[in-house]
Amino acid sequence: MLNIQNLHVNLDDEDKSILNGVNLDIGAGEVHAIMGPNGSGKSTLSYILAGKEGYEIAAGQVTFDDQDFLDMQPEERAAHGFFLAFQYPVEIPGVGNMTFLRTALNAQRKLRGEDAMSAADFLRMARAKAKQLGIGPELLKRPVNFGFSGGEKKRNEIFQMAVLEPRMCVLDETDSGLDVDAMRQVASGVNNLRSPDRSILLITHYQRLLDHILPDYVHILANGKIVASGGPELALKVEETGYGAMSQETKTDG
Amino acid sequence: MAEAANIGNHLAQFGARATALTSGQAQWLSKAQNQAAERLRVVGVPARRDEYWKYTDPNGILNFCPQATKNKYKMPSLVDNDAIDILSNGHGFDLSNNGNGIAQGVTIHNLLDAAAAESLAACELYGKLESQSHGIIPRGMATINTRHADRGLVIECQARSHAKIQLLMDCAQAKSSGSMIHHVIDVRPGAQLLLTEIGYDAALVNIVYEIQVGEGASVQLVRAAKGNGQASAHMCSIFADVEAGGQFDSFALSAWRPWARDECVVRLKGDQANTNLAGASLGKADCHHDDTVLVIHEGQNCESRQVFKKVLHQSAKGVFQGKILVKKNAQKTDGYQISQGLLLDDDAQFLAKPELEIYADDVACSHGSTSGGVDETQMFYLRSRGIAKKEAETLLSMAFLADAINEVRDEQVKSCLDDLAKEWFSRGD
Repeated sequence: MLNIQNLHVNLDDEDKSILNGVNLDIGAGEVHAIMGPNGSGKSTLSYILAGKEGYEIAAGQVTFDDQDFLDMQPEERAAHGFFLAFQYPVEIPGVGNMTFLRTALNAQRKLRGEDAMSAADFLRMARAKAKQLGIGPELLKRPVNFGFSGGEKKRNEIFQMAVLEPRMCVLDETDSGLDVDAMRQVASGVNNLRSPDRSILLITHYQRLLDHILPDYVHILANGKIVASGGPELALKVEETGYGAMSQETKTDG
Repeated sequence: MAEAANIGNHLAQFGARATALTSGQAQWLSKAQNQAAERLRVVGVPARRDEYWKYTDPNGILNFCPQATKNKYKMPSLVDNDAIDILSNGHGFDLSNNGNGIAQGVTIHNLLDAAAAESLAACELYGKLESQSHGIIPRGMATINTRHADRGLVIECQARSHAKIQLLMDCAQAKSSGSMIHHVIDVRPGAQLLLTEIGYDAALVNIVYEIQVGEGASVQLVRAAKGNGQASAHMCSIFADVEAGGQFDSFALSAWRPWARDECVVRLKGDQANTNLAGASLGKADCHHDDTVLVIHEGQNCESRQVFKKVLHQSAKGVFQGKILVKKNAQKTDGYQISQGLLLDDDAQFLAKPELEIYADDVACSHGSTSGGVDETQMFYLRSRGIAKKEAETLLSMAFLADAINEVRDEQVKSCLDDLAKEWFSRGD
């Protein structure tokens, strides 16, 4: 579904490379996890996939359903079924959560050549999904993420994911800043969305999220490169040995 | 027409026509207009060197040449139900089907009819608030209007009456390319008035509102217009005196106006009088929108708010000059002022001049002014959810304007203003 080949990325403003040849292939229905230390390029990878400006693609390519993904605008990527759950969801005062989501859903449908969903149908669908995720009606009425607690923001990301029904979801440190209960709630929301035609990429520092969302594959990103790949057991190994040992291995290898 | 040479060709022609119309009317009006002519000699026609015309070239209206155009859009409305609709087609206000008698305790007359009815107390207001306003900022445009106005309404709301009045302006047609309108409104103690003005501007507009807000009375004035693509110059001067416990609110939506200046002077005369003044402005393609506001605190325990927001792009220029003047006896004043410009590209400009002048020692006054572009992180967040750049920009602009539109208390009017602003973004003219 999503294929990343030899991706090299530099920061636009500085002469600094962040990703140094990332290769990753995510098939339909698979759950992958990328772990790595601070500054390894995890968040950059998620931003590049979502289409954020400010980066220079020095080499490599990304395809989604065999289509060139890097050529698309962020909104086109979303309409193709890509979704990024932000590490720091953005507050937008003055824009109601429901207005925002309905605008987003209908904008995606329009780009896909589908009919717009009526306000009544949308409200019914959104309320049902909010209920499943334990999101109260008052959260739906408030402006997007404005004044939300850390946990509410992360839950709102998963709620958006449930409403927009993307096929490729990237969750950027969705566990950061969450207490144990909130993490359980978020994880169960994500698990409910697992399906054979929906792929998920989890980006995280810690193994603990992977206790709740069991990945099919785990990759270690260090110095802008994937240095190790394996099954869920790789996450446990990181927990024991730390990232330092693995980064060291690559440096020696390289 | 001794003063005509100074006024600007087209305004002067207006003046000439207006004077012809009003000659032969009752004495009080000709007297007030003659006094205005005297005043105009002292006050003078606005010039670029004037302190409060630095950012706005008065020639934008003084030398504007109006071209009449056909209106191709449907007449909008701000209030659907239970309002008295008064249509103006550019020649006057049609009171034949409505007006008197619909709202108990409210009388409405055309200015020229009122001229014949000497007994109307409201007539005494004509030119009064305008004439007392020149001390701090000269108001030459308003004086020109008082001198030459040929139409307008005289509205009297008796004590404790309630009224909703909507002025439907259909003034963009041939033969009515210019209008010099002067309303005088007397709202007696405890009365409540919601007055809305909506429709299509004449190409050249110089309008004055003089509003007396009695003790414990409340007046909300909401003005908006739709454009039909014509070049236009629009000047509005609002004068309000507010007695103890009274409330005066004013909101204007400036969209589709190539050149507009809205002046507002509110005097909080009595204790515990309040005012909320707000404006939302949408400008592109060289348009120029100016809000020049003065709130004078005279009574004690009075509150004033000014909330002005301008979305500008493509060389549009927004101007805000807002002053809170707190007189010596106006203790416990609470004054607030915010003006913000959202610049959608590098060519747009927002010029703000906030002023506080305070002579009392127990007051809380604050002011702030900002200008900047769209927040890029918000923009990316919206786009990452599938919302195209243009639509995301509209959403963020509407969110930016919401603070100003939310100052309007009437929910129905607020929602109509929202729709008008959205239409401006989608129409693209």
